[in-house]
Amino acid sequence: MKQLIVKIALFVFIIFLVDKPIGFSISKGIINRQYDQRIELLMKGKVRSDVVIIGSSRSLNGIDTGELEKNLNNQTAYNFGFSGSNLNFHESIFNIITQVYQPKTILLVVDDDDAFKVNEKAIYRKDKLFPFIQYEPVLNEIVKNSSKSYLPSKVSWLYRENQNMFEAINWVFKGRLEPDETTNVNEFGFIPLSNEDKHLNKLVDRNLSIDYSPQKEQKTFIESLIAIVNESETMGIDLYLVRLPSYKAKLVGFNDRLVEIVGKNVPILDFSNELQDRKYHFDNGHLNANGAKSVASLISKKLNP
Amino acid sequence: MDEKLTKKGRRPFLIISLISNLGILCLFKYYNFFNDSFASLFELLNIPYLIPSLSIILPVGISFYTFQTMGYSIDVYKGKIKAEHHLGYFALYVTYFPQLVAGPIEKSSNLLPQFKVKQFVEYKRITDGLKLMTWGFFKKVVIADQISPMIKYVTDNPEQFNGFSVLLCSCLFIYQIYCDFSAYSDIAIGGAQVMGVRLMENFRRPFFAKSLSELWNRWHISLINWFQEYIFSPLGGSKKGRRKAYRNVMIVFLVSGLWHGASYNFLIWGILNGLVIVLTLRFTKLKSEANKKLGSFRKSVWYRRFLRVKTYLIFAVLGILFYTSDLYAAQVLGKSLFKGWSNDIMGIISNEGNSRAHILYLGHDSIRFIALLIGIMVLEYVHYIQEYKGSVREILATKSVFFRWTLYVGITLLIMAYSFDQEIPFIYFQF
Repeated sequence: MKQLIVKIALFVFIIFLVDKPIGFSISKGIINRQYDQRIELLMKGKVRSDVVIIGSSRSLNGIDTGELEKNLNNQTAYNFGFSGSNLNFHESIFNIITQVYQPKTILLVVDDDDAFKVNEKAIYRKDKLFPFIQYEPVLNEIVKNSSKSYLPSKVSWLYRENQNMFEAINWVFKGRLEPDETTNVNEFGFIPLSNEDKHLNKLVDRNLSIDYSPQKEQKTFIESLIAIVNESETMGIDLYLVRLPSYKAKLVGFNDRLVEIVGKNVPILDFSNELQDRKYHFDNGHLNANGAKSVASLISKKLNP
Repeated sequence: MDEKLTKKGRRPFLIISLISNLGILCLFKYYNFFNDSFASLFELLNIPYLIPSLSIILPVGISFYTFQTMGYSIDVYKGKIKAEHHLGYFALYVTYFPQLVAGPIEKSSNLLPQFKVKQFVEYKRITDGLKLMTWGFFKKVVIADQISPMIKYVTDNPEQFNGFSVLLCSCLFIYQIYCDFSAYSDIAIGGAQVMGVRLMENFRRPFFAKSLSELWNRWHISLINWFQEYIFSPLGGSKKGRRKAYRNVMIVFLVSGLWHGASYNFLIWGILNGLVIVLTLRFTKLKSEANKKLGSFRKSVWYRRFLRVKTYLIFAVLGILFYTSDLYAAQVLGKSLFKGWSNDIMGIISNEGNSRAHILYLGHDSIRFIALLIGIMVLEYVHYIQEYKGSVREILATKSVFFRWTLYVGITLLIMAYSFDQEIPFIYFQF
């Protein structure tokens, strides 16, 4: 019995010794592999902007944060929009940022009719968080939103980093990932889209109105929005819900629904009826660089006292 | 039951036991399948069919403990064992947790007496059990779980794949299901061994089989033994003439198909396995004549390897019915198996538009695919040692402490490294 216990203890000790360097190497490899380093910059203390933007690709491509910063009175701005992400993910990004520092203002871009409904193009982007799992706030969010276990992640670095193993090996052989339209962020965390995409449906009837239907809304997305609102209030962060222009039929009644969910104390910056000219749009849901610049200017007018 | 002296006296108890066991199994597992089949048939005949389907969850491992309990009842009926009068021991036999949800299906004569033996801490027994469990975890997370997304990649869009990818997918699936199921058995056997209970061997290197019937003697041994003892032999086995032997084989595989799941895929999979074995038996003479012509070549290593590969490929192709969710998908993949080979090969060579990732890596990237192949090679090497040189644990015992501990630490680290956040349940939990 004694022999068994001693050997098991020795075995665990050896595992413990080897575990950390391997986990650390994976972590280094995976972070170096990423082109989009926004979360890394946040964690390293290199992003401490006063105004932070959270949302999906509509916010990533739709608000020119550099332009916004230029127009704001002595305030800095940064974009934490992630392509293909949903409200649950936005809540995680909010939590990660606010665990690191407290921005003065957060602009949460709400994806209109898709915001509270299941959309296969907007998911919880675990893949965007996993590379930075070495950081406690990121780990906390991954644990909350996946089957990753907290305690083993605290005990073992290898277990904590294991999802990144193959990509870390890829860094050794292939180096950093090539930038693409979802990762090629500039110094303000923003990705401008050039001109017009072939998918822009030019035949959309801009005079048509569609009533927003709360049917098929998912409780989980509503809860995420409420959590962001409540946390912002507790921390004294000025939260704004933003509706960006789109090249689609008008959505009627969505603001009322937002008020119903978050109450009247959260300001809604509704630009959905602005910038109706085609020259501002990349496709039906996303603004191009021109549009993003103009929206930044519209936002700054609302934020500047 | 065993208080009755004659078989006749025991029969009513056996019937009650079988009806209740099979009744529970049929209700949970087969009711909806047969009900839906009847509904489709009645719809075809334009006759109204009003019996509704049941919305019930299949209890985990029901097929395993039902068969184990039925085996017990039959053994008591036949007088092979005495009935267990202690409710605690009997309950432990039915619900012994290491093997409860996915076997091995234990015979009462093996398991029950072991529960009554006083256990002591034995260093070798415990460490051997832990080593077997570790090997099971290795097979599950390093091999089976890495193949799982590749199979899903193909079955989600079966129309998008040609012959090479379908064959590769089928071959990999066989490794997946083997590593998944045998891993569970190893963990169960190892876990029980730690507690001083010996469970039966459930897999014996099935890919070394030179025919499908031999493969089935090495695959899910506890189930095949059960079928042999409680279905094949009572029906007359192979002693009552060829035709009856063929019939009995077909019955066993038909039941085996249905045991695996209530679907046409499993049913046809069972029938085809039986059919291949019956055809092999039917043409034994032809085979021995062909063997004579092969002369000394048939004793060569290459001929043995050829037989192994042939058996493996037959099993893999039949596996299409196992890993697809319905007959349509199986049909699509079955047809694809024979087309587009040159396109696939060209796609792999040229890698145009990253086609290699689609055709060869089945959705993985190159590093992950190569890591998987290394895992499979390690598995095959271990099998080779077990088949030709004996117990790996005993061979390892002759090596230096440094070598052994490096190996144990390495395997443990690999298991930790591969335990990703997606939970992939053991495939046989669904049965």
